[in-house]
Amino acid sequence: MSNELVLLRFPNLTALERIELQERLSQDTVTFEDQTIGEGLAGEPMTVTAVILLSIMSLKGIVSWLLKNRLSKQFEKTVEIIGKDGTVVRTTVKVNLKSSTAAADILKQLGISDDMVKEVLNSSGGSNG
Amino acid sequence: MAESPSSRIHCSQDGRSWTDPIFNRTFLAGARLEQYFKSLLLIGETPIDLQSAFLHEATHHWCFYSPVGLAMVHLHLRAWKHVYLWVDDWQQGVKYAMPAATVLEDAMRYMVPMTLMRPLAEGLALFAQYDSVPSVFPSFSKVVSEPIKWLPLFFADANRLNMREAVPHPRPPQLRIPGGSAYKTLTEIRISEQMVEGKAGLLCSPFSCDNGGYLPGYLLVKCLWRYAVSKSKKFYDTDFFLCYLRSFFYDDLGFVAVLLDPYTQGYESVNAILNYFHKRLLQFFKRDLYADAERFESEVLAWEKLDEMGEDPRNHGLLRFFSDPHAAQLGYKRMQALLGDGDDIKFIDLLINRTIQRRGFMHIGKLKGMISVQQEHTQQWEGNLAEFDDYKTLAFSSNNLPTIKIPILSDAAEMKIPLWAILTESSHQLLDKSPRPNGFLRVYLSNRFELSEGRGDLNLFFSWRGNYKVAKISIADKTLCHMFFDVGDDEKSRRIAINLLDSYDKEQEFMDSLSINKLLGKPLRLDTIIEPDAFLKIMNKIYLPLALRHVPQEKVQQCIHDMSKYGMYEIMQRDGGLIRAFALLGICTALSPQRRVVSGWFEKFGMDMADAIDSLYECAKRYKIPEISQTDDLVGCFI
Repeated sequence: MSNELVLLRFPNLTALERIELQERLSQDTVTFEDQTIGEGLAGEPMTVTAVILLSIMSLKGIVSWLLKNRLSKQFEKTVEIIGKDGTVVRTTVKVNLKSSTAAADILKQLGISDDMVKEVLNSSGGSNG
Repeated sequence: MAESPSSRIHCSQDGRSWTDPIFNRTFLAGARLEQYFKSLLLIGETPIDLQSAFLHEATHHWCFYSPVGLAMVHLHLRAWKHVYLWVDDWQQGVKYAMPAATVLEDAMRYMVPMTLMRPLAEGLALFAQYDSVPSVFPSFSKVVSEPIKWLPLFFADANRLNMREAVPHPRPPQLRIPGGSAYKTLTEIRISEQMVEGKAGLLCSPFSCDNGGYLPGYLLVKCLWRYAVSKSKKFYDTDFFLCYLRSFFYDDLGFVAVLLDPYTQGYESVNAILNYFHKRLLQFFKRDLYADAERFESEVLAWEKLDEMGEDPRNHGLLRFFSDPHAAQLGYKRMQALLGDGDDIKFIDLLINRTIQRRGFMHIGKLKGMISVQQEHTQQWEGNLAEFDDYKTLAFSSNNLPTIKIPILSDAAEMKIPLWAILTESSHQLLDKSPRPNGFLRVYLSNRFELSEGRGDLNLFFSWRGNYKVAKISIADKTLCHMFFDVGDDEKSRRIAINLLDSYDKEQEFMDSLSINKLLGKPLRLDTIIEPDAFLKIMNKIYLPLALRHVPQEKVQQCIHDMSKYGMYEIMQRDGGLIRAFALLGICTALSPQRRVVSGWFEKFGMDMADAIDSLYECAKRYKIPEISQTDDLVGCFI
């Protein structure tokens, strides 16, 4: 993992995605922010943004979440990568479940260092997490 | 319970798009005008999530544009008017006590039914999103819901404009009747990852009337549909059912009579509203729905005919049969009295009147940018305008990217600009150079149109009454022009639109900046009359058991408990894959009951329908949900 990265934010999660992510992460590593409505009006939240504190275990959980119960073999997920200095990089992670290196590909797209990728994959017990 | 913007916003399930019931304005989160302006105003492709959100919000818009919606909004605006006049008088030195009781009474008569009906409103909108399909069989119904009619007009992708195009597989291809094109469009929208994920999320949301009550509202509507089809086959046409249900609640003049009852006050009014709505829900199960379906269809068709002939259908006593005749008459009279209230000269009454009239327009979005009106010459235009020596151009750009550029070919106040001559979007390509698209944009220049340059706004509206879309371009608060993409030819309707929309920004901003809360400098608290937690408990008592009407009576409370936090997730073995399969099954069977077709759609997602149904049967052993029925050829799912 790059030392610069501290948080990941996944916006627009449905209630089911929230539950599934919650089940894979420990309580102290993830919080959920209710998404508000635009145009200066505070509407009622129906989706959430997951804010995840980065660690080997949380990365393992994220990878497992992205690889399970998906309707499509290939999909994209928007993520905001937040550095220690507060910089926010919004990117789209492309996931290909058919690939034998899907887990590693996800981690690389999140900007995780090669050493950390190995550590996460080893702790996951397989190349695909 | 407080009057707040959030409490009056009806959201799309993704929590971003919304409809404001007072102004009936809509915010479609996916309608990024910079990106989709051409598609939204003219022709082209739009993303699935935007089309899905449109169906949801358009259903809200349609519901609120009704006698019940109008009565509620009038009450809110009357409360606002009293506060405004009181503040205005104080500022002018005329000091007296605020008419608090009157304001609270009106505000409460808006808030209580709006809050109470919110889960139902969301249920109807979700049903439109995930289930409603117009029948292609004439034996079912000729009635088509407004959102379905608007769908091909709004997403005017050229190949979908013809509502009479051949019906796709699996419907008989020889049928060429209304609904065919919408069926195709709906299939494209719904058999998609976004929609299945969205519905799976809905099924796992809390089973409570809090925060919009999406799941209770949706399950209630599905439960009402399930009951309705057992009484009349006409309701197998789910779009017809949507029309009926919307009318049953929102066209109910009996409810209008209660909302506008001058003989109740405070708690009495709250109780009357609560009791009426609860009884209305229960009444659905007591009606002769077979007879209702027949009569409803004939009256809707009569209504549409009168409308086409230019007569006001509201004055013909139609669509009142499902209300008590005396109550309906009373509601009609009270509504007429309310509409006649006010003064034609006073600024505040004129403003309210215009606000009410503008409720027929869906505000799709607003784009800020740079406007330039310039004198041009033929050779500078990318299209072929050789026949024009001298003309102006009107260009709007946002974030330094061109959104639209049109040639203004004459000084006439009104003109038709051929579509091929319009430049749109960042690529600045001509609209489909080859072949040249037919059609045109009608441009109405204001008398303030002149050579100019500066910051301005582009507002996009959709009028379902007039079947057109209109973009209004203004610079420094001056409207320069209105541009209509019109599939009809109703000049009068366009003139009314120009009159109403010309002052949209100014008047909307005025009303937003002077809401009741802002005028008072603090939230208008209704807690003294309605305690929010107690009200939520009452709503849960009304909605939850009805939404689970087919669960065995002795298990209902346990089922409500099990679903309270994560919806159906708990009772579906905490298996996200199974929830998604269930969501897909519901979406598919709403489109077609044919096993072969549904199975094909499952295969598209790499799933096996038969396996999924076996697992769902296992889950159903506990509470009889989900309820699935099947034969060798057909499969049905009641959620």
